Formats: sequence, structure tokens, C-alpha cells
Amino acid sequence: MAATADPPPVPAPRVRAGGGPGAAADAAHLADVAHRAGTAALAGADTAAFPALVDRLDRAVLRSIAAVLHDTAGRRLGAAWTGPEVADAIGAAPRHRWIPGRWLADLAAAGLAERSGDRYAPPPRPRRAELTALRAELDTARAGLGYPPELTRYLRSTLSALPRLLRDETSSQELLFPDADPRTAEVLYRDNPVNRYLNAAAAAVVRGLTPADPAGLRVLELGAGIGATTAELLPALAGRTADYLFTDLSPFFLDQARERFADHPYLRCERLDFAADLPPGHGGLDLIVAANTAHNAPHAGRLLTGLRRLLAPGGTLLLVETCREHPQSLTSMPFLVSANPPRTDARAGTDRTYLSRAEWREAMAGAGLRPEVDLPPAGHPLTALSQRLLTARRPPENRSRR
Amino acid sequence: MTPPTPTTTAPDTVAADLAAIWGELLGLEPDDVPTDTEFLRLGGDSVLSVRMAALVRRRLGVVLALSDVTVEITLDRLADLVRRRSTAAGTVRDLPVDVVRRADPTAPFPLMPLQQGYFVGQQGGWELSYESAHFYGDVGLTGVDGDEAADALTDAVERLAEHQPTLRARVTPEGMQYVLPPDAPGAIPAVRVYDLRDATEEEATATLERVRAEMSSTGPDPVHGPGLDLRLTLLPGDRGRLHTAMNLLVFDGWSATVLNRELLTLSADWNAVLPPLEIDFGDYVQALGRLTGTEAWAADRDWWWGRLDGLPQPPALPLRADPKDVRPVLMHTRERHLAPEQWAALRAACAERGVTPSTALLTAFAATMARWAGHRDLLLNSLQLNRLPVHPDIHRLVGAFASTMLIPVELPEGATFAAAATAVQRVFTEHAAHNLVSGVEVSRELARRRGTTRPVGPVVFQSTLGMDAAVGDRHPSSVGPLGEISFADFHHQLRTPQVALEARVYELNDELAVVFSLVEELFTPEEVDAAFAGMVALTEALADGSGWDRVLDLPAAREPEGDGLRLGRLDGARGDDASGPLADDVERRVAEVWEDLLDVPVLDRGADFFRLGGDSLVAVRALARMTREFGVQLGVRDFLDLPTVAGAAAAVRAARAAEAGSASR
Amino acid sequence: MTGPLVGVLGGSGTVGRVVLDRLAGYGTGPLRVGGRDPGRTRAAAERVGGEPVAVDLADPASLARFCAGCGVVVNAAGPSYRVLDTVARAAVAAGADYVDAAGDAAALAALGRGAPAGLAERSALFSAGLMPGLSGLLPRLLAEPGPLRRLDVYVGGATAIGPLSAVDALLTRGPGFGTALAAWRDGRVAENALAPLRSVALPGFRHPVHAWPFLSAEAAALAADLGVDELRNYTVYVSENIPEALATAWAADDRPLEEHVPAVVAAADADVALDGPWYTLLFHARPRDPARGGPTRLVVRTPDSYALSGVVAALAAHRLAEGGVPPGARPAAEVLDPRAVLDALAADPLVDGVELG
Repeated sequence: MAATADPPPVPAPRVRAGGGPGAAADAAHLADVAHRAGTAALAGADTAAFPALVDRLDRAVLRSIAAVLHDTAGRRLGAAWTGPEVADAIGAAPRHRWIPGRWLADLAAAGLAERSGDRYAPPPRPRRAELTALRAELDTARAGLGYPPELTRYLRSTLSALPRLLRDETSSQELLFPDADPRTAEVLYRDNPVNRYLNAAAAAVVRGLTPADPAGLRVLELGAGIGATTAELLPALAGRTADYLFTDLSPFFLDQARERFADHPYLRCERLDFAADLPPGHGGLDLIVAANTAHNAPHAGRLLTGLRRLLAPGGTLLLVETCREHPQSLTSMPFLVSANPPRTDARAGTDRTYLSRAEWREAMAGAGLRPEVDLPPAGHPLTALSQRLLTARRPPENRSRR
Repeated sequence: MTPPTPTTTAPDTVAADLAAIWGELLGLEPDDVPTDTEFLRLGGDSVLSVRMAALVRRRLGVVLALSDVTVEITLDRLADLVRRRSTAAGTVRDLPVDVVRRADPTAPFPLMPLQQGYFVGQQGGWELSYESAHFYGDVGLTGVDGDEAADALTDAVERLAEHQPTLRARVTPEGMQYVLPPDAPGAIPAVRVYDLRDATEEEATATLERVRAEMSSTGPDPVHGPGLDLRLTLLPGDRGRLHTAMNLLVFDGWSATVLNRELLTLSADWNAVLPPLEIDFGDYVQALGRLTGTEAWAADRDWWWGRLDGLPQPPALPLRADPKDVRPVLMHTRERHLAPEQWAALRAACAERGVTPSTALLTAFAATMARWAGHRDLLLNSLQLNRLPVHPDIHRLVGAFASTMLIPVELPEGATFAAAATAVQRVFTEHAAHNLVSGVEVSRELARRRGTTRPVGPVVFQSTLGMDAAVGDRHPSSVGPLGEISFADFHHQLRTPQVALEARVYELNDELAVVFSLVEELFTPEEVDAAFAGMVALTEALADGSGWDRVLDLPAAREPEGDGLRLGRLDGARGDDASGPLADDVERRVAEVWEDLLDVPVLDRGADFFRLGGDSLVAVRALARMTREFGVQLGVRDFLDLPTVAGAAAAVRAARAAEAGSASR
Repeated sequence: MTGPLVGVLGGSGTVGRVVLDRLAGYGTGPLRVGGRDPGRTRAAAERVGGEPVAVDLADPASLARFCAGCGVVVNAAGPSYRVLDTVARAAVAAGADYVDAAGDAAALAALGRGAPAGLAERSALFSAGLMPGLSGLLPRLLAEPGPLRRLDVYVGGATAIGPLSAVDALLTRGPGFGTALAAWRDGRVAENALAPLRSVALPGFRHPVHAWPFLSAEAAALAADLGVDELRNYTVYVSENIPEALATAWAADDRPLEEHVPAVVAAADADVALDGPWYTLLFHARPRDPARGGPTRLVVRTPDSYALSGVVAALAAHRLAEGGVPPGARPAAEVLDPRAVLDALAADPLVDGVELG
């Protein structure tokens, strides 16, 4: 594995043990420190162009989806389509039958399809030359956002596999991990500007933690997957961590992690399906990390309540979450949604995967966790990518000072 | 021709190896893995199944398509699949070289031995050679979207040329090869389109014939442009034809299959992504260069060198012309297909007898040749895929990996076909195991020892059976705007140099094709027909089961006896046996050129170029140098007739006299 | 036999016996035969009707007695590294001319240090053998018709080496003797200019041989003398046995050379065991003028290189006996007439063949 570069030296944030009015100032300071660390990790990427490029990528994927639908089913459909008609024309598996409707709705929302009732008039069937140009457009946007070429390959392979995905003849995992080579997933989740920003900011937060137990920090990571975030946080935890519990649903990732993090004796790997239930225990953890995974819980609020129980007073919950559904994920996310058990929180009755920023903050408050860091700051170009770092603390116990 | 043995793991360890893999993936003891339970039920998921396929490939050397390895598969069914696929894959062998990416992918690198043979053969004047050694095929398309097809094909070629560097390959006049960067002018082969949608039936047919004739006889030449010539004819009624010509100098048979498949995949799906290749053909050639001089290579070389003096003669087929005097333009064919049921029956019969279909057909061909030639110890040549498994991506590369391999066949007298085939299989396996030295190099040494410049293996057997299964995934038959491919409607032509007669067997659309490809001018047509009929009859008898236990009717003689003009017995006296000090300035200058190229002293006018260590590639360079040195055009034939210093000098003097004669007119 | 008395030291050895036999045949003489062993010396002398004399090379008085009265003294007793200039000085002091069948740069150098007064009037010819000797003499025939662009010399084969000669071979290292892998180019020694040729076919040599480039002092002198643009000199072996034995010995700087003698002798014996003894000298010339006629190649083949050097020594002695050779010490190749020598060799029973063309 490539070693991560040393993070730029950032002063450890001051964090007072007590709550009260000083806590807000501390939180603001912490956010500032984290933001600066994140910015430094951007290393001069031209983020001003990001909002426009995100839009271009979204539109390119949408138009590509429309083109694939034309190719696959267009001949059997009329001038205007409904979701179920498209699904039937392609032969979608029952659990994925809802997806074409979602695509059409998003096309309309982007102004690429004309909606009347539940019928959508798709954009005209592109000619080959236009398709070549569309492919190039997708790649240009991708490159401008600092994503590696593997992302284009991945998106194109999902587009190519769209009919088979709908028919359940293949899975997103197969496309994401061709030949069980984790590199594709790795570069998608790590090696791009927004993730570099978020990971560096997260590391800065972590650097400022003080353990409840003098023996060292106790950490739990949920849905750790390929360990992209883990690798970023471990240097910030070095030398002061007593226990890092790396968990995931799949033995595949646990095996990988055992090998990859063998040099960290305090890191242990265990299988945990946090969407089903959490480990027993009370107030022991200084840090709980959930990167791009907390949304897998059927009820975000209940998850957070359970996590609060596991946190020590003053302990931190660190989330990296996508807070908006972007069309560019339309070739992969919906299929995972199909596989998920139904959501019972704000997403109930919809096909949403993610919660919004406001919904997370609400869930945090509802679980008795105080939101602290919320990055990137409002108005920053990186917000266009809708991935955020959200931390919250379990308030410390009130103690008399004397 | 695919080697008949399974992978290095004997069949009974396949199950154990797979159980070990599943055990690792699922956290179970190999012994505890039930063989009839689905992977999913044992705790596997789709991610793990992908990893399973990778481990199977890495450890057992067998390539499984992802569509084979689903979560529903059981260990039993997987073992079955692996065994079936492994008969088509090559044997896995530990090789003492590593392939690494070259620092500069556009740097020139040397030609592989068979490439040298084709390159030299292209120079014209070599016996039985053509201006280009190429494969041409065209296939019918129906349901073509005439407005889109050309764009789709062009786009596909562009993407394919980026993915497979060999499409951008060039060969220098000195016999080196290199790859152009994708953005270099002319790097991407252009697609020529003939839009005949509004043409009359006669016009369309005439154009088709013209294109076919042109592409059959004049192949693409990587010395002057791309090695691939791709054309599309659009016909009335949403029909069309896709014409492909590939020069064997840069593309071998396996590459043609991969290339066609990938081209059609990319044409069909504008989003199709081919998994990136970690290495290219140049990296492979460099790695093989490091193989020479290792102990393993030297052992194979010594093994072959020790046998050369005992090899039999090629089939002494009676000829009606001396190959030296023949200037062939096209090879002619005889072709027959076995229906799918017959082919299936043949496969089953072969499996029962423990021989591969390729070996059975090789034996049938050998018997046919023996009868025609009048002797039963024969030296046959064969074309081998020869992709040494030095990297997992090897089978997906387009390049010129193939090599020849000499096969000495000694058909036993009074034996059944089954016994003969078993013997041939054993010999074949043994020879194929020593494949670190290419057959081209072996043939050169044999020629040197036999003191001949004639081809030593002019009768060739080539089988690509099992190749399709090994490449995995069926040929896409629906190609987007290009419509549907009609496999039955397939025309092909082949020109390979230094071959008098070649037998080819391949699969197409579940049928078995048996083809004789030959230089028509050399043989009596009735004799060819009879031989081909014999081959077909024997093949059909193997399919219906009756041929196996019949005693093979073979000539009694083991070695060629007949006189007259016969293949392999053509070397006449070689001019005068001049020897002695270099007689004049011409001879001295010739000797100096040779010294420079061969790096040995050339001090006698009787010194033979090939005995001094030269090969055909260096001979081409020597001719080029002598041409420059003396300012005359020297032909290969003049040189080959008497490849000594005296002979070459005489050729120079003759050329001068001829040019002086024509100048004075 | 009337003429100056010719004394042959080491007359009972291989080379000495041939010298005596040839001198008797040319009618040179009378002959005096010197040796340490009285019996063998007498037998050798009887064969040619010469006068046997007991000589102890280590005893200057004995040596002086042998040389007294001789017109020419021929030294056929080795080894050169021990004899050096001893006999030459004794001969010259006694007023005789001198021929040494071997003896090379070291001997010449030794003689040059405090050169005896007699050298002003007497002639001392060294290296009257095959190589050095014929190898410096015969190629001149190829340069006679016109100057050469390049001269290639290949000398060698399979021949037994006696222990004393093995020491000589082991000593042929250093600038006085020559430079391995060097060629003569444009008037100077060009180092590392040539690579060994392995398994090459050469006219006049049996089967493919190995040719090791070694620009000997003699070859360099020849090149300078003839004014050739380039000269390549090779020692030819039938196997790698001897080059390996020599290389091993030379690499082991700390061991005395004598310890390596058995290995060198054994290597040579192994070569001879392959196909019997044989030895060839091949000279190949490239004229500067393309239109130049005349011979460009000379091959001399013999089964016994040692014995043949006796012929050369005899020819040198005969030449000295004829008179008219300038005084001073020099290699025999500078004095002898190549044509006359070649004609004599062609007629000699010890020569299998001479081809000039």
C-alpha cells in the first residue's frame, strides 16, 4: 500500500474537558483547524471549477443512461416512457423494477426529459458520433474534478452493464472489484480532492482527542470496508491508542485489513453488522468512525442513539457522509438500495439512500449528541460534491471543579 | 495446436486445490468444505466469488469467465469446469524470467523468430514466399444500421488501438519492430467504407469481388503502414460485410481471435470497457530475450540439438514443379465441415480414447501424408500458440507470439489408429514441453546441419481447437449498429510463406472445419483431391467410431524412396565447390561485409553464409549492405543459390553485367 | 662440409636433433654437438658425423670451451627464461655468431644491458622459431606486392607443451611480450580493440577453433615495419583448456608460477588427445589498393611445432654461415628471406602443406 504523505503540521486543537459556553468556541476552533488541514491536503487543486464540473458529470451520466435505455429498449417503446414500461422492456428483476422510474425522474429534474404525468419524453437517441463525444465529456469532467481514470472506467463499465444489473445478472461489487482487485475501489474512495480534504480534516479532529482512559484511545470503526479512512486516521492515532476495532460486514474486507494493518498491534478486526445491531457496552469509546457507511442503517436516529451509548462522555462520533443524491451515482447506488432493507427514518417510503446535512444534525441532536464540526464550510466550492465531514460529541458529565 | 495434457496439476488434485481455495476464502478447513453445496450457502458472496476466480487463475492457471463463477456454484461443478477449461489452456510452468513494463513503450525491440521468418519471407525471392503473409476473412452482416455502422466501427477501432498497442505496430526495414504512440499520425488504422446501399445488385457484387480480391492478394504491410486492414461494405437491404486482413508478421492466430472479439465488443457497446493490460508484446519480447542463456533455455536447446541428426525427412510428396521456380500469388484450399453432431461425436470418441481432438487430427493428417509420400517416418511442422505464461495478461494480448514446432511422426506398421494416435500424443507432449527454444531456431539449425537453404518443414499442421473456450465468452453475434454476424457466411484466405501444404482444423459455429491450404502450382490437382478426401474420410470414421480400431493402411517404407521431383529431396549440387583465398576485390569486399554482420572471420571464398552462423534475417541485412556496397540490386534467389563468398561475388558481377547491358541499350 | 664450424647446444633434444639433421642436409658444417648427457650427445653427434662435446651451461668455462672455434653457435637448449643471454654472450665472446631457436624479448633485453663488445662485429639472431619467428617473417610475402590495409595472423592448434615450455608460456605476460585483446591500429597499440572469437572456422585449421587476440611484441614490430593500417594477431586453441589454465595461473598472483605448470601441461595434453597434434600458421592480407595483385593468403601446416622450429633455427644458422648478415642482436625474422624460407619449408618433410594464394 502506498504510504500516506505526512500531514502538514497543524497544532493540536484545544479541547476543554468541560461543556458550557466555552464548548462552542472550542468547536469553532476545531472546525477551523480541521478545515485548514483539509485545505492544505488539497495541494492546489482548482476547486473553483468544481461546481460546474460536478454538474457536467451529473449531466453526462444522465445522458449516458438515457442513451443506454434507447439502445436497450428504445425500439420497443413509444415516444414517451414510463418507468415500469422501461423496466419491462429490459426485463428488470422485480426488486430493481423501480429504478428506471428514478432515472426518468432525475432526467426530468435536470431538464433533459419532458415530463407529463408519469410519462417522460426522453432526450433523442444520440448518434454514434455524439456518444463518442459524450464519453469524452464524462471523462473531461471526471479529470477536472481530480478523480483518477479508474472512475471513468468504472462508470462506463456500469453503463455498459446497466441492462445486466437491472436483470440481476451481475452485481455492482463485481464491477467495482474486477478480479477481486481492490484497487478500483481504493482510488475511487481515496485518491481525489474531496476525499483528501475530508480525510485530512478528519485526521486533524482525531489528533485533538484526549482519551478517557490514560491507557490510550479506544476507537470503533463501522463499515470500514477497504480501510481508506482507517489508513488516513492511524498516523494521527499513533502512539496513543489502546484499541482500534475495525469492523465490517464482509469477511473479505476483514481479511484484507488484517494483512494490511498487521503493523498496528492494537488494531483488531471483527465482523459487525451495525445495521442489525451494535455491540454491548457502555461509555467506553473515545471515537467512533463511520465513513460513507452510516446511511446503511435503516434508522439513522436509532443508530446514533446506540452509538451514544457506546461513547465515553466527551467521546466523538465522526461521520463522512454524502448528503445529496447525485445523478452521477445513478448507475450504482440504486442497485444497492434495492438490496437494502427498507428505511424507517426520514427516508421511509422514498428511494433515497442518503440523509441531508440537516437531517443528520437533527438525528444527532435527537440522540443527545452535540454537533461540532461540519465541513466543508458553507459556500466553499467543495460543497458541490456533497460529501461532508460531520462530527458530534457526547457531552461530558457535569462535574464540580472543586 | 493446443497441447493435449491438462495443467501441471494432475486431474485428481484439482478438487483438492479448489477445496483449499474455498477453505481460505470461507475460513474453513479444506476437508470441511462440502462439495455439493453452493458457495453462497457456505458464506460466500459475490465479492468472494470474484476473488475465487482470480485465485483459480493464479494457482491453477485456468481462466474462468466471471459468468461461470456465480455464487450458486458448487465445488463439484467448479472442479468440472476447471478440468474442461484446462485442456484448452496451456501447461503452467515455472519460468525464470519476470516481465516488466519497459520504460519507453515506443522503443524498438527485436522480432521474434517466427516474425523474422515472415519478415524475411516478405522480401520476395525466398522459396514459396509472398509479398505479405496475411490472413484475410470477411463475414456477412444482417440488420445493419447503415447510418451508424461506420461511426461505430471507427470508434471501436480507435478504442481498440489504444487498448492493444500492436494495432499501432510497425516493422523497420532492418527487421526491428516498434509501436507508434496513439496520437501519432497514421497510428490508428483507418476504416474504409464502401456505401453500396443505393447500388444495383451487379454493382454491389462487382465491388465486393474487387475488395475481396484486392485484400486477399495484397495484405497490409507493417513496414509501410498498419498491419490491420479493416473495411466495411454497406449493402442494400440492411446487409453488409466486414472485411478484415491481418498481417501474420504482427498478429498471430490467437491474436486474430482476441482482436475480432474485442473489436466486435467495442462496436456493439459504446460503453464497453476492456480491463486494462498491465504489459504489452514488447515487454514480453524483452523478457524472453532474458530467457536466452538461462539454464532452463540451454537445457531445452540441448534437448533439441541432440535430436536433430535423427529427425526424419518431411513428406516426400511428388511435385509437378520445383518450388524454386514457382511464384505463387494465392494459396488454394480444399475445405470440409463436420456438422455439430459429428464434431461432438468426434470429441466424445477422443475423450474416450484419451487423446485430444487435435492429436487425433494430426495423426490422421500424418497418415494421409504418409500414403501420399510413400513413407511413414515424417517430419511435420506445426504452428503453436506458444504464449509462455509469464504474466496473467498474456492470453489477452494481441501480438505475434506464435512459433513453429517440428514434430517427428513415426507411424507404426500394423497398428490401429488408436495406437498410432496415442504414440503421436506422447511424442507431441514431449516435444511441446521443450518450448523455450522456438521451432524457428530449431529449423534453422536443422537446415544448417542438412546443408540446405530450402524450408525444412514445408508441410504444416495447425489446430486452433479449444482456443475459443480458452479465450472465454462466446463471440458476440449481435454487434450494435453492425447488426448480426452470420457465421455461416464466412470467407477466408491465408498466405503463409515457406509452406507447400498446410492442414488447418478449427471450430466455427459448433462445426469442425478441416482445410488444406496449398500452393496449387506444386501439386497435381487429382492427387491433392485424393489426399484431402482421404483425410476427410478418416476424420468422419473417427467421428462415427469405426476408424479407431482399424489397422492403419500405411506404406512399408520408413524413409523416402521414390525418385523424381519430390518435396524435401530437392537440393541439387550447389554450384562449384570453390574454396581458397579470396580471389579479387569483389570477393574481399563481400567477405568484409559478412565479417561485419556475422562478427566472425571470413577468410575463404568457399565460406558459406549460413554455416558461418548467419540466418535469414541477417541474410536480408547482408543483401541490403551488398546492394549499397556495390550499387547493384541483388536478389535473394541469386544469393540463396550459392550462399558462399564466391557465389555472392559472382551474383554481384552478374548483376553489374546485366545493368551495364541494359544501360547500354 | 667446409665452412665455419657450427656448434649446436642441446643437440640431443627434439629441436636440437632437427637442427642437426637439417644442417647436415644443407651441407652446413662441420658440426659440433653439445649436451649435458655424454651418451646422448655422442649418439646425436654420430648421426650427423659431428663432434660431441660435453657442456654444462651453468659453467662459464665449459660454455667457453664449447664455443671456442665455432663460427656459429646454435642454442637449442632451453628453457629461455633460464638461458636468457648466457650462451649468446659466450658465443659472441668466442667470436661466433649466434642463433637461438627461442629466446625473445627478455633474452634480447638481457643481452642489451651491458652489451658485449663483440656484438659490434658479430650477429646474434633470436626467436628463430615458429612464433615468434615465422609469424614475423612469412607475412612479409603478402606485403611485397604493395602496402596493406590490414593483416590478420592466426597461429596455433593442438600441441604438447613440456614443463619447461609451460613456464615460458606462463611468463609471456607484460608489456615486453605483448597485450591481450589489443590490435595494431593507425601506428599504435589499440587496447581492448578485439574480442576472443569462439568456435570459428578458419582456413587451414581443423574444425571450429577459438582465437584469442594477443598483440605480441613481434606482431607490433611487424605492423610498424610494414606500415599496415591495422594488424590483428590471434593465438589459436582447439579448446578453452589452455586459456583457462593460463588465466587461472595469472589470476593467482601469490602462488609461484611453477605450481601451475602441471595444469598447463595437462591442458595441452587434453587438446592433443582430441584429434592428435597439429599446428597451423594462417596469414590473411587486405591490400590498400583494390586492384593490387599478388597473394593475399598464406597457410603453413605442420604436425609438430617444436620440431619445425628446429628447421627455422637451422635455416637461420645456415644463413649466418653464408655470411653477410649485419652485426648486432635482433629477431631472426628481421634478417631471413621470407621467400627462401617458405621454399625450404614447402620442401621440408615436417611441413604438411604450404598454400600461398
